[in-house]
Amino acid sequence: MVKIIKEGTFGPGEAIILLGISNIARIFLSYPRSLVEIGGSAAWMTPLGGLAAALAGIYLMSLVLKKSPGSTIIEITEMVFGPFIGMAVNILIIAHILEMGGALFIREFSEAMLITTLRFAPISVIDAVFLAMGLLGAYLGIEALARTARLIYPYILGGLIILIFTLIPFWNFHNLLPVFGKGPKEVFLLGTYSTAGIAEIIIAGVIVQAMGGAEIFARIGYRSMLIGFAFLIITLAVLVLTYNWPISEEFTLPFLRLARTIYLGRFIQRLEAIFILVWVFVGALKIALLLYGAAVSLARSLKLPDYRPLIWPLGLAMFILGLLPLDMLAAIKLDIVYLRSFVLIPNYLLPLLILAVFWFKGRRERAGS
Amino acid sequence: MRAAKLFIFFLVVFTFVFLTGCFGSRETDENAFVLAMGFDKGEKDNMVVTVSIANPKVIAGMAGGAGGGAKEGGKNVIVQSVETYGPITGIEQLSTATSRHLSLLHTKAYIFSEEMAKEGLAFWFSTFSRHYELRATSYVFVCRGKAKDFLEKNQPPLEISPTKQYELIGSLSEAHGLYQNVMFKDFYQDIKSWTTQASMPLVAIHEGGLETAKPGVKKGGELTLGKYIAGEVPITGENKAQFDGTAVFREDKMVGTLNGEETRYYLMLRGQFENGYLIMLDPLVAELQGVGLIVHQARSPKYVTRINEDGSVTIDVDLYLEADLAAVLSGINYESPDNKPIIEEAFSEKIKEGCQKLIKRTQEEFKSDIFGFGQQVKGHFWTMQPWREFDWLNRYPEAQVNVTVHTRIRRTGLQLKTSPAHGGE
Amino acid sequence: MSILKKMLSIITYQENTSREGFVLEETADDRQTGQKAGTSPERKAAGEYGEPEAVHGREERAPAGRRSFKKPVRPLNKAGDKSQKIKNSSTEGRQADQVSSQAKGEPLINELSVSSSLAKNRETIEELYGLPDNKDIIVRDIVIGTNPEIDGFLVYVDGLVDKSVQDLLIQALIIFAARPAPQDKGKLALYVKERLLPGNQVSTQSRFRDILDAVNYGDTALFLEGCAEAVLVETKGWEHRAVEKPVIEQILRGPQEAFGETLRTNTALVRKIIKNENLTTELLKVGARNRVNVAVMYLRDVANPSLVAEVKRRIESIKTDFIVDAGMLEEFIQDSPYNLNPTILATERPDRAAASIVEGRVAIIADGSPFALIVPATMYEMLQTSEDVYSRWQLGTFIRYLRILALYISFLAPGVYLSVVLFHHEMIPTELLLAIAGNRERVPFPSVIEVLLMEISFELIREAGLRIPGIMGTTIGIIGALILGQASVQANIVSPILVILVAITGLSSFVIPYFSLAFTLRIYRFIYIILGTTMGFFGIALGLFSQIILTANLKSFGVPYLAPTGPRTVGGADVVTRLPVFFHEKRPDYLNPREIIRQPDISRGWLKQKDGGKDN
Repeated sequence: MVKIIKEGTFGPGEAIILLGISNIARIFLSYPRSLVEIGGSAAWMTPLGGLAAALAGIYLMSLVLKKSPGSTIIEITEMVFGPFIGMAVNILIIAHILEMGGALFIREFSEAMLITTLRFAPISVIDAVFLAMGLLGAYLGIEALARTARLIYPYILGGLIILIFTLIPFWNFHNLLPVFGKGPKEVFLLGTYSTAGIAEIIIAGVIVQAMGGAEIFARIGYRSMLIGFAFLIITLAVLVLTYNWPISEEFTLPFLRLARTIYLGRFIQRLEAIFILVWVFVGALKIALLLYGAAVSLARSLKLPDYRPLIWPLGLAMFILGLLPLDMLAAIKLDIVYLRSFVLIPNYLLPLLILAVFWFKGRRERAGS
Repeated sequence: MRAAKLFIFFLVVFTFVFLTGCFGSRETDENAFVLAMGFDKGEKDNMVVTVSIANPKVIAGMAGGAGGGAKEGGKNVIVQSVETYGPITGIEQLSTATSRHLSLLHTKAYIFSEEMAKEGLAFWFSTFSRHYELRATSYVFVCRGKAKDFLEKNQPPLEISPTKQYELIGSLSEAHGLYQNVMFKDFYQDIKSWTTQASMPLVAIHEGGLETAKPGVKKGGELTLGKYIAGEVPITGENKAQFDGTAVFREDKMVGTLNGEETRYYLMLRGQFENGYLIMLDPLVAELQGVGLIVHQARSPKYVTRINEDGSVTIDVDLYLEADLAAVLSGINYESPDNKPIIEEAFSEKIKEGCQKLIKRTQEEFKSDIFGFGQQVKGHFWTMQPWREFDWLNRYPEAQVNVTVHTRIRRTGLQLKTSPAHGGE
Repeated sequence: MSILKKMLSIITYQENTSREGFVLEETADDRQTGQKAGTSPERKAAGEYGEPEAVHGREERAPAGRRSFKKPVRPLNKAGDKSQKIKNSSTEGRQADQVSSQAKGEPLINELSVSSSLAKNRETIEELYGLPDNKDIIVRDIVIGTNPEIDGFLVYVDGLVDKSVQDLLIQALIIFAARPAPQDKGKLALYVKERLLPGNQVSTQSRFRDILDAVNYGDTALFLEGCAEAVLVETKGWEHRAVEKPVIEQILRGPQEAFGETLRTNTALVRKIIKNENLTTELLKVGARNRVNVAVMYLRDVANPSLVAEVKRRIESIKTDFIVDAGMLEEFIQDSPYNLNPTILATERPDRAAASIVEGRVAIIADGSPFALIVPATMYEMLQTSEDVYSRWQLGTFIRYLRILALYISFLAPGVYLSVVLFHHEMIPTELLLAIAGNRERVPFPSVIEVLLMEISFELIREAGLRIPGIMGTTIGIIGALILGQASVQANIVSPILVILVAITGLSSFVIPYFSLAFTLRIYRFIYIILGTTMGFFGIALGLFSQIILTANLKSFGVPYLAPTGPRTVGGADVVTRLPVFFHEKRPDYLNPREIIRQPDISRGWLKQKDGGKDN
């Protein structure tokens, strides 16, 4: 396939970190709270099913991408479904979902920032700041984003480790009992459904050429999924260990609450401002990555030579769409109810469909010859 | 043309950035920092909110020196009260009398009066938990008497900054165990928890001086030093605030108090007792002499729980204590290997009696499981529903709790042998 | 009567017949350029508003064209059509140069060549140099003492030549040249060069452009009757500064020599350290009016040939008027001139330049500048000094970590202070907050103004310290400390905590060894102050993210600026933590040198055998 758009390349280490950080981003929002609601004291077990589903999804996607090495999922979709339906599928499913995901993320991160520090700022200002960072990142390209991810990850990892270690005095292991929380059915089934909805698989499919091709896609995917879900499991475990689960259900931003609990003597208290740095980095990276993914997928499906002119309109659309939900609760509800379901379509259904079509074609060919 | 466009762009950006009032940035001299808050039951309205505001001029002047002058005049805190509906409304109303924004970002102590505690604290705690400026690691206390009086009269002479007092109280609690250290978040968790009930330390102002002393053991009273609760300890001096004892809650209402000694047993049973000086009666001597021991808890207690078929629960608790011999008033040589086990036995008996009495008191009088035995029983259940149906908190009064105490005397201080006082033979 | 006349002359109106004062009139081609530029969109660089010439009621000036901004020429692909773009931009940008040179017919000079007639040559020389007004240029007639005798004349610039060498020269030609002259006059120059002249660098040229370049630089040109070539003898010898201690990069332990202003001395200093036949010095000429020699030094068997080719390509394609210092050269050849970070390292120590050359980099030395440019440079090099390598490795590593801490403090400290004091009061312990609050009660300004006041006064002190003559230098210390520090605290203009903060920030910025990077951080500091004031820690995070991503994207001659952590290449042994010298086995990987191993695994032979590995 013709490589229309010139992208930089980066190594597998950086790819793993980039996708891993993008996966972590939802920990800092009110997402863990809904998982505690589902699982009770066994909240830390809820992502296990999602992890298995995500690994399976990576495997499926890698099978799809191996069918035509040298092209991304967009070109494969067109190859499979034909030009018109393919383009429609690409735009409606891939670019559209990435765009919506980005809009919702901008909104949620800005709300989180408002609750945490700048209580009296208008939300459009913070939205605009995140958008500006996302635009900068998407404009400079995926290579710059990957390098930045590589540079930033020690701080994110360090922040999490500091959080874990300083909260050890407050841990109460009895909070993890009863072991299965609200019941294994709820924990595993509902948990899987809630945690499998990640956008990284499809983003990885779109930027696969920059990462080094379809051969190492599977390895990169497995490792970044493991990193992301490990962070989620650890955060949930620490949350339930520190605060018992009826209270953990109440917090809007559980990670913020954990950061506020750090208490090392008289001098080191309420250090959540340092964690703001970590959040902003992760949020800006994710938004830049989503914007980049949306722009590149749109450009590739419309066969444009460069994706950069699309960044500004797509970014502006993200900004405006992000301002549409009326209040924070509506935004969170949209995230839980709609986004998590819709994002399953490009991540899991699309590869399954493509593989099914390949299989049918293969059968027809075998039957024919 | 391009110049004009660029100029207008930058003008817009700067206006945008500066005209929005910098998004709630507040200088330090626009804020009044509340260091402690007190809540009393009000007569006409719900509550009387008292705030103790820091006076930075005086604090900086005392600690620094750039301003010069020995006594700047003026106290280092300013106390104000208002009668109002709730805590946040109280803060708003108080800002009509102060010239600054009241900020709860550094409030290290929340003090509730006994009357308020008896009526229930859940609403106010959830209000605070939602509040942005709350410090979840601040300490909470129950005050005997009025919190307003406490805050007004609490002037520790050694401290420049009042918050240091509350923070240091925490470390003192580990030193003697006469009261415990409860943070906001612990109390809030325990209110909402299905396994444990909450408790808070007691504070009070003591006006009486030495008159409130209770009779000692030779005059028919108790031996222990923890027989007082806050406000009764017979101390005179400038420092009038006292911290001693515990308030016991069921759900969110206060149902009783424990004195210092009982608090120590309570902490031992929870595994949070660190150090303390306990006195016991000398077992080998007829008259009532005391033996002093410095006790600390060697290991966390061991709990074994059993749920019988009829639904009743049996809990066996093993406490492990280590003691150092501190004072032997009778002069008997307890350091020798023959006499040491006697002391250990007697001490274990004494502690066991005390714990059993305390547990009975919580079961019958308070009907609340402040010890957290529920956490141990919870391990028998796999999911949450059966545990909820088991309803431990109401079954606690019928539970059978057996306490066994194991003591070891490890060291005997700097004396290895006690000779009798009348010179050698 | 005369007194009356005098008084009348005082009180009556006298017309001022003297000249109004000197007025700079437009010359013919300047007017031409103005008209041309008025119609074309390219004009002077962006950002200049005011009128370039004084206006004194001049009606006949051509109306200056609408001041439109010249778009900075951005090469589309940094590696691709850069050469074409540069040709286009240079032809459009420097119109004045070309127009005026067309007026003077300079391209004609490039085609002039020496004629056989001595008189004609002399005429040409007089015209080109503006003799007899130009008193620097000396023309000395001589008669060469061959037989038959040959007429000739020498041309040289007084002050640039070494008189003793010239003496020898003239002696050799006049006195010791008793030989038969060759028949063929055309080969005369060759004959003179090979047999008569004792100078140690002699060449023959036939184009006036080369002759003029050489004479301008200090050579002596010898014109001979009947020969269409001139002989150039190297007689450079002008007043220059001796090799002194380094001014900016002082270290405790190590050589204390620094580059000077003479190119030959500088290259000699580097050669003194690298005594290797593979060390190559290529000379390029840059600049239209001052023809500066630029030396490019590299090791032929180590440096990447495409790197060298790229450096040479960039330098050769510069078309400008006048380059004085290596700093101007740096601006012309650097990758991203609009980014705040410097991408080329300038050093005045020959040992540092030599170490970089051996690693595989290229050193560029411009004549007249005591700084050598090292390319490519990453950010980590700008935070290293030679002292880290010459001292023990523990000291080197410790000092490097200290420098990194200083790096962060120097640009983040005021911003973080402002965001904590304005937005995040809960972060600092209560006692500290109350102390800050208490001290700030008396200060009338908002925190931002306080910080900006102190920062600006610190910058003023710094700049003034540079300009103050040495005699009054100590006064600055007293003024700075007393007035701006102590007195302003006592007058309650600033709070004492702020003075401490600004002092620590200033100290930290002095710890950065590379001055260009320190300037960059000063500018960043102001940006972070603004961000911290308006948006607290969120603003600081925004600034950090943008800075990281812009810096990670920067490239210096094809090498990413943050290698080896930017893209994770093989970690070197000398980036932050300095391993002992016997572990430095490889050259930095990102340079892609020709030979990457520079030490074998076991570089201390005495460990293996008792006699130090020598054969017995």
